[in-house]
Amino acid sequence: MGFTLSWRCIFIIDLVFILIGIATFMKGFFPLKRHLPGYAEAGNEDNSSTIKLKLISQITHYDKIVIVLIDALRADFVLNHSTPMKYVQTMMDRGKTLSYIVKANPPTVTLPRIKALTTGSIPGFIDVVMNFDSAALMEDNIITQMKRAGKRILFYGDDTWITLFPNHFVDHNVSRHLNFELQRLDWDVMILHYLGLDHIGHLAGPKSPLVKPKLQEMDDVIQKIYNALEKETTISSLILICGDHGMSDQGSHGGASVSEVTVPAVFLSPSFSNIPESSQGEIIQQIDLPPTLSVLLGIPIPKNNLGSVVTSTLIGYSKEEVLWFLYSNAEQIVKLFEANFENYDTDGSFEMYRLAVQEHSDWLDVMKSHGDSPVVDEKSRSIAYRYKLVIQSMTARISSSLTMYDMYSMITAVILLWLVLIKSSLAKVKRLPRNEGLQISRHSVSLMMVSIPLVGFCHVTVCTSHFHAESFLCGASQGSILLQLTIFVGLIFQVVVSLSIVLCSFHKLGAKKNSFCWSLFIGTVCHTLSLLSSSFVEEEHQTWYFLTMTFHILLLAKIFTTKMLQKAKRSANETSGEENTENYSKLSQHESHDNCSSYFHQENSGVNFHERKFQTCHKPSPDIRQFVNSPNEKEEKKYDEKERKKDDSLHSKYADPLCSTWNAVLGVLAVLILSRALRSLNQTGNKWLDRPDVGDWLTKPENKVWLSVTVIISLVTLLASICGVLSWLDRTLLLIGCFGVYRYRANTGDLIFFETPSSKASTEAWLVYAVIFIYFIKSLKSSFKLSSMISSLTSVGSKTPPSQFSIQSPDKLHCLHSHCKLDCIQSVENISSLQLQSTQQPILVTSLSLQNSGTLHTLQDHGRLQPKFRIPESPQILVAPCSQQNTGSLQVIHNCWILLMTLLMRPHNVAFVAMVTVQEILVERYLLGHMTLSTSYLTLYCLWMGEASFFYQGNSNSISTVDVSAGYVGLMVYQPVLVGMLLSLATYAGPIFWLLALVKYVHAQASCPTASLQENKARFGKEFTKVVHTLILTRALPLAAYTVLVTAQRYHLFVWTVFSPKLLYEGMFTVVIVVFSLVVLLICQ
Amino acid sequence: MTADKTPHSARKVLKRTLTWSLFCSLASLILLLIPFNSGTILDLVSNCLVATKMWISVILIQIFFICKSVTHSMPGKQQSKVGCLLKYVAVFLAIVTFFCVITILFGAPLTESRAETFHFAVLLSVAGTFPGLMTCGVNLDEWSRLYVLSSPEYGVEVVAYWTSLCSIFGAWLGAFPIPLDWDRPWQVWPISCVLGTLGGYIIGLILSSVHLFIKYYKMARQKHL
Repeated sequence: MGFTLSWRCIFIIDLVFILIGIATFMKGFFPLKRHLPGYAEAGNEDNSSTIKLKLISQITHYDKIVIVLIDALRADFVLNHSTPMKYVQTMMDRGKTLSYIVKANPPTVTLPRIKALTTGSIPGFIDVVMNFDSAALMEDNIITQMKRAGKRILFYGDDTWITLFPNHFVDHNVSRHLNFELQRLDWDVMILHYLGLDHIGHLAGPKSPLVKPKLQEMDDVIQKIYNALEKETTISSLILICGDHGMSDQGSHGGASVSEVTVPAVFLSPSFSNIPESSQGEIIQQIDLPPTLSVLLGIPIPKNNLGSVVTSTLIGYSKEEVLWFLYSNAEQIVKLFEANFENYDTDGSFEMYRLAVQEHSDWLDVMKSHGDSPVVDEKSRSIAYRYKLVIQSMTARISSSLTMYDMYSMITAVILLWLVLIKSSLAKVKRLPRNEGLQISRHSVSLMMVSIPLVGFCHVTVCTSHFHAESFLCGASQGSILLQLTIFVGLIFQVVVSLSIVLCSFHKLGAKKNSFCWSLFIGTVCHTLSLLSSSFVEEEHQTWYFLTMTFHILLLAKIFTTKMLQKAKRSANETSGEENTENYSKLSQHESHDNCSSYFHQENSGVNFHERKFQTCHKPSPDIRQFVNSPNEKEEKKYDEKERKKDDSLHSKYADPLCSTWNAVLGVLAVLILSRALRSLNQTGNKWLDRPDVGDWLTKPENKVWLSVTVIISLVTLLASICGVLSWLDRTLLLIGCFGVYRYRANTGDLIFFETPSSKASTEAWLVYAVIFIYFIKSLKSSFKLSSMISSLTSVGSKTPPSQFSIQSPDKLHCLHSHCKLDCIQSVENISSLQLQSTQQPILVTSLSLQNSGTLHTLQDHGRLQPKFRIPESPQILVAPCSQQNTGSLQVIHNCWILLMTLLMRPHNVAFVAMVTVQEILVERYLLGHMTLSTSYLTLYCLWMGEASFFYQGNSNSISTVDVSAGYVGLMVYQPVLVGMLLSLATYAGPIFWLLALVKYVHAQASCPTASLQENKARFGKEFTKVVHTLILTRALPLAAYTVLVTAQRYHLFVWTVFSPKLLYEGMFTVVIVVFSLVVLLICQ
Repeated sequence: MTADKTPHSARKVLKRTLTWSLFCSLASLILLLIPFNSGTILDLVSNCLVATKMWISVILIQIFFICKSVTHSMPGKQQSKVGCLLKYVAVFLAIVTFFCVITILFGAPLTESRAETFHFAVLLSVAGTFPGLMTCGVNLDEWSRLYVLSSPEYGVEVVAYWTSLCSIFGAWLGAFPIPLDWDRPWQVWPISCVLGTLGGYIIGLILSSVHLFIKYYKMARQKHL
């Protein structure tokens, strides 16, 4: 018993399960924090919370606050006794300051730190991604609260603040007229953010001699401000000096080492006096600063704050006020607690809060009736202690839930991914026949019956256990149950299929590998291994650059080796002495090893391959624009001479094997040089990110002319390289497209144009979209027209006896070689209709011959086509030109994609598009023929090139390099779906470009001129199944390895800065690959 | 060259080459390890350029002596000495240029540390192609016989084959630790690659000794039989 499952079906299921696996893993890995929307109000109108106290009518607060935020100010820069900030030091000694040691949360990078300093919340990793659509801070924060309280805010610092808080500040650049502003004092809050220290740190480290003068300069600024504020005796004022993050001993920051997370906070006020030395140096959290500042300014505490008010700063405040502040802080945190936990009221800390509020209100009554007394004082202290305890325990609960991993769903996802990997690699290793499908054996079906209740039992056990009860895989909602069912069906399916594969008999164990092909495989495995190191993840682009470079160098070596062998063989033939026989046998050994695509070619071409040795030496490229083949050299030379007379330019290049070798060598070198140029276009990664690169230089405003020149040159190159084979109409369309791209960028102000930029930039973008669409539809239409014609042709052809479908004699085979890919459609149409009318015999027009031996006559264009076709007298065979036509439309899709890339990318990356396109053309023309890769290895090669070009674009494994503006090209308003789609297309433009090229190559390689339409179709199906199989493997391998790593290293220092962004990128790339594979599988049906 | 020699003298040649390559590998190992991290002028990490220069000459001398010990004359002796030398120098310069280009293509900085890149390229060509140049001369057929068909014939060719392949592979491997975030002084370009080349060279010498020893052993057994 048993049944057969087709491979296509298995692969489609695999793709879906890879997607489900990675999605489940990410859902378990990234916990979503629940934000409270809106802004806190001064009076608590909403009575949703349980207990309320009456609002204290009058709260004292500081009139003016100056926040001096010094970037990368390490704690020991200020709090050390040998600090260069002498003025602050003396003020400390005079008891005028309150200083704290502040602990910042990693990642210690400026933007998240500013967010923490203003909102009081710990930004989770996923927040960064979720807030992609808007740069402005939407959460409740102290700056917005200040603005709502009607305070005038002055600001000096970099753009980070301005983008976070648009329209919040009355002045953006105070530094120049700081003295003036200090005299006028018409502001309430002044924020000064100094970046100089951080720059010095990055440049020379914390021990640099440059640090001291910088700190002294800061000291002078503080002295100036203090003196100005001291003069005004009528108003109360406060200066806060703090750092956003520290600096490691190497001068960098971002991690979680002690020197990076400890920063100072110094409160300095003319109203402070005689603060004892002992109260200095208390350790607080960075998120404690925003509620403290809100209290000091008399504004509401931000809603999502997790910090607690530092009561020691409340000098000169009454007990009622201190308790009120603590109450409002606790109340705010209780609200957040309620939002995060469903059963909040059964929690111990909530009980304590209720008790504290009760005592507080009792105490207020006592205060009112009895006035101050030691007992009351004691009581107030105990209430404050309770509040602090409540805040502490609730904050701990909330923040631990932010870093709690859903281990059950993570492990399930890991198992699922590993099963997919194991199954696919088993299928690969066993080399099962692709056309038959997989026999699901009886044993595995019976095993499935046993395993279903087993897996079900395990699931119920885990879900009812206390530890994993909160896992989302244990949810009871409809969607969740559906997901659970899908995942468990998937697990069982994978096991059953892999068992069936194991039980299958070995089909074939061919050892047709050689070191050259294996380098692709080994490189892929090495890349997966490199993901286990965090610095290799950060510098992943280096891995890909290195791998592609190595592969091309090996290709160069291979070309030379083949050349040498050929030469040696020739000399062996000439001398044929006894001394050479040994070498000769070695030689032939070498050559038989040297043919990794032989499996496919041998099997498919149906032509005799006793000349294979020769062919490997100079196997022609599968590109349709070139071919050369002949059984022996004499004939080849004759043929060359003939051809050269007719068409000198095209064929001289490929005719001579020596010449073709040199072409290939030059081609490889050109590809390598382009790769090198591409890599210096955009510097990415982490270690060398700040090195200047060409892209940076071009985007400088003063280099606008150069940028425009670059874009124009790139566009012209693009047009020249892709327009060569197109009709005039298509050329015009592409020209309009490129012009539209340029106009669009000129309108956005990036490029120069002889017109002043108009305000509406999106018109041009829509023009380009329209051009792409028209071009695409036009090509589809023509291909449809042709396919209907072909079907009518083949219906005629099928009536003839099948014997005529074999080649009668190779040398009588006439091959049509059309130079123009698109024009050929028309030309073929003409010819075939002509032939049908005149001869009434099915004549197969071979569109392109690759491997068939025999004298081949090539025809370059229509003019020469027609006379040639009158020659045949004996019934000839007509091969439907389907492959040619499909390759043409594939080229059109590729061209559309190139145009879309130029539109979406930033202007300097138009150069990237041009260079990659030239690279691709070089690979297609000169390299592929010498690589002789089988379909699977060709897939690997294109993936490598795609990964490399992903980084050439300027992407990296950090979220910050995503070019968000690409999502808004041509869009007036924010449309989440469209923006997301455009964004992911633009980000993965390079890999998609190479995947499309892959389809083109595989199509050209698979199409066999001597086979019928049906056979060709079956062959395409088979080859594209191989492609999808390889894609599944290359996705499952890194995902399986990486998810295990992330699970094991979930408490690692770099988990938020390195591992999580990489996981997101891998997930997104998986989506791209899965969509691509599904489309390929469905279309090649 | 070896064809007309008797088996006895062939064994002698083999033995001599074996001894020389073992001696050279030991000497190089000592020379590499002793100044390492010492901060002296021969320390690769602190004085990269000087140490690379020293190593270039060391390898040149070693290879020269290994080859000299057996053949007693340069290959291609028909031509005049000066013309021959000029030809060799031209080929060697071309090789250096080629390695420079390859190194830059692999990602060496184009504008900065040019001297380092050049020194590395010279070292790589000395370790990677000088042995071949000494044994095969400027004859392309000889080269292809040695490297493409990988059939090193007599003693010196074995040394040339292994040292050059291992040096180039070592240089390739040497680039791996550069992106790691350990912030060690030897991760700076091109120190790790130079170290890789030298390590590859020494391993190549050891491998060729092993290869020669096996050959010697076989020859000895044949004689006894």
